[in-house]
Amino acid sequence: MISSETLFQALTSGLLMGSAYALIAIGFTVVFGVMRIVNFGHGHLVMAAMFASYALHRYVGLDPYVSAVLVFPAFIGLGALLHRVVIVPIMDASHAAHMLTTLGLLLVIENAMNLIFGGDLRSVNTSLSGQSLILGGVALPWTRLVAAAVSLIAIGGIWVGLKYTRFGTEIRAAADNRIGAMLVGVPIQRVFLRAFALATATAAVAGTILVPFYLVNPFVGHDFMLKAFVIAIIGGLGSLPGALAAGLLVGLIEAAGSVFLTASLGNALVFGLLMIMLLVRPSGLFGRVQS
Amino acid sequence: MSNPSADAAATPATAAPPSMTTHKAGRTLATSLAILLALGAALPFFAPEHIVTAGIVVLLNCYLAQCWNLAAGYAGQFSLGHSVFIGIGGYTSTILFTKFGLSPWLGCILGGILAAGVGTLLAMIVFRYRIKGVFFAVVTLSAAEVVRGLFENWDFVGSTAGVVMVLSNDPGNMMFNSRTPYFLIALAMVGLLAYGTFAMERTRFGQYLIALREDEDAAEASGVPTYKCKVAVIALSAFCTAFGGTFYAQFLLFIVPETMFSFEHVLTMMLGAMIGGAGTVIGPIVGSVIFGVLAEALRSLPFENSREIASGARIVYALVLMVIVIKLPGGIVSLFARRQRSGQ
Repeated sequence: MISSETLFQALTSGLLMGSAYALIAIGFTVVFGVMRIVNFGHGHLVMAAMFASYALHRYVGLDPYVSAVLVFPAFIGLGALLHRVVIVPIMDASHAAHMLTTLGLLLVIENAMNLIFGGDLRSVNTSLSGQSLILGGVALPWTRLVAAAVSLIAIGGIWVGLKYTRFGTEIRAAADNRIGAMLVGVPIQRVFLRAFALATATAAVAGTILVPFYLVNPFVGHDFMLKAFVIAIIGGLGSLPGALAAGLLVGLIEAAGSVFLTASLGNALVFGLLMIMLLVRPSGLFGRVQS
Repeated sequence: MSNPSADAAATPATAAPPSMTTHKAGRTLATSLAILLALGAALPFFAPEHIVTAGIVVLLNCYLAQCWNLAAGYAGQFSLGHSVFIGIGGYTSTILFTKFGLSPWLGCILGGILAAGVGTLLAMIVFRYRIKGVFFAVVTLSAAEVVRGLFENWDFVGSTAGVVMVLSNDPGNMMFNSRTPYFLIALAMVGLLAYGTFAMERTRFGQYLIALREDEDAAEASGVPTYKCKVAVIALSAFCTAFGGTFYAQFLLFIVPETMFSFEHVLTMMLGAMIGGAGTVIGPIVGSVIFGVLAEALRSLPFENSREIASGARIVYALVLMVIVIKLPGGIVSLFARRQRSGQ
């Protein structure tokens, strides 16, 4: 029998992890929503950010929370570069070409990291490592709390930005109707560039907050990519509230699965949910029916 | 019947329109392929063992890329879940052998049937709900994750610890002390599937597949039974892929869910087929062989260990893939095909 404390502990950490998943998924879903491009490399960008934090910690001695100040702008630049080199040439190509090119990007990132850092799992200790907030018999590690808090703030910030700024309005216009947006004078190429850079920057944030408690090797990107996919589709591709709700849901299912079943069955459960979702409601929880 | 290949021929982006592969060109292709196979068969008798081992891996990758090419290259169904069929093939023959003493020569056929069954079921559900394109890729990818999760928790098949087979020189059970028989079996698989693909291209079914790849709505409107064709091609591709799974299991003599259901297989299949030229008979072979030769060439460079070689090769290959997708969607063989056509 599983005690209520174990269950509560699992569900809380599921929710905390789910918030970080939601942030990863939002970067993915923004790119799809605005540019209609499936970025298979998104999870690997998160992994690359984790390695960037790791390297700055290991060789420069910077705390990941401090080095975020360097990693974040670096990834905005990386996003702009990738947009120019990888995304622009395939904008008008088929979905198959999108998938193949971004899978190529995935392979390049994964193997570059494998070449530099090797395949071993690595960890980073921060000022907050090993400390927990005890709340009603449940221990909440500070690193996970910070990760969840930063994720929620970032998601809220993106939501407000999309809703109330000029840049956000342009992004939504481009997502809604590309031709229409161009006709009313939205600088569509610049919007795409910014959207992709924004998505890459969210990957940097996610990587920075995950690395204090999530072991990193070149292959964890695969898991993030799958999670981003699952969450974006369950929530409805292009939907921000959908991604948040689905992220929390996936975190919960995963945690509950690892308590009641095994970790790998919990994972299988998440993908089972995705398949059912695609069959019964392909537009997702919060998605609109797209033409 | 209207000619469904007319659409295909109008699109130069996809390699080798059927109009090009006339009877004569087909015979030239078949002859050159036969000569290549004969030359290949001689290789294990003079080459050093590590070359033969590398050759087996290259041939297996060729074969798997050919299988993936049936569904993705010819019918345009971009599966990212083909590792399921490798796993089912490998596990079926291995479990039947270790638990019931059935020879893998027979087990591989049962594995193929089982994989085709799973493929049919999956395809029926997915295509009934009109899931296509990116969503088809994601559903197949998640199906692979689900099946792998189930195998990792299934004690009867050894869960995460897997199954080990004891090596003995036992040709009746597809086990050999020498590398040579493995090489010849793999070569035969590649040759047979190349011929099978070549023959399929010329059937009405093959033309239907190409038509629905080029424009599904137009194909449907001209009377192509697109639903049946898509289910059939997934089943066929799954059936063939499972043989690769059995061969892989017999070659390693050790199976775990992590290697049998690895996404790496899918990437390898995709890379080989796309770089060589998807939707052609020789494309997947050309792509996989180039990858194999590249990996072997990198081995001679002063890298410290195999990890660096493998990573380096994959980076180069991924970059080539991206360039090819952007600049040369028909793959390497389309260069050759274009020249041949303009020469005629």
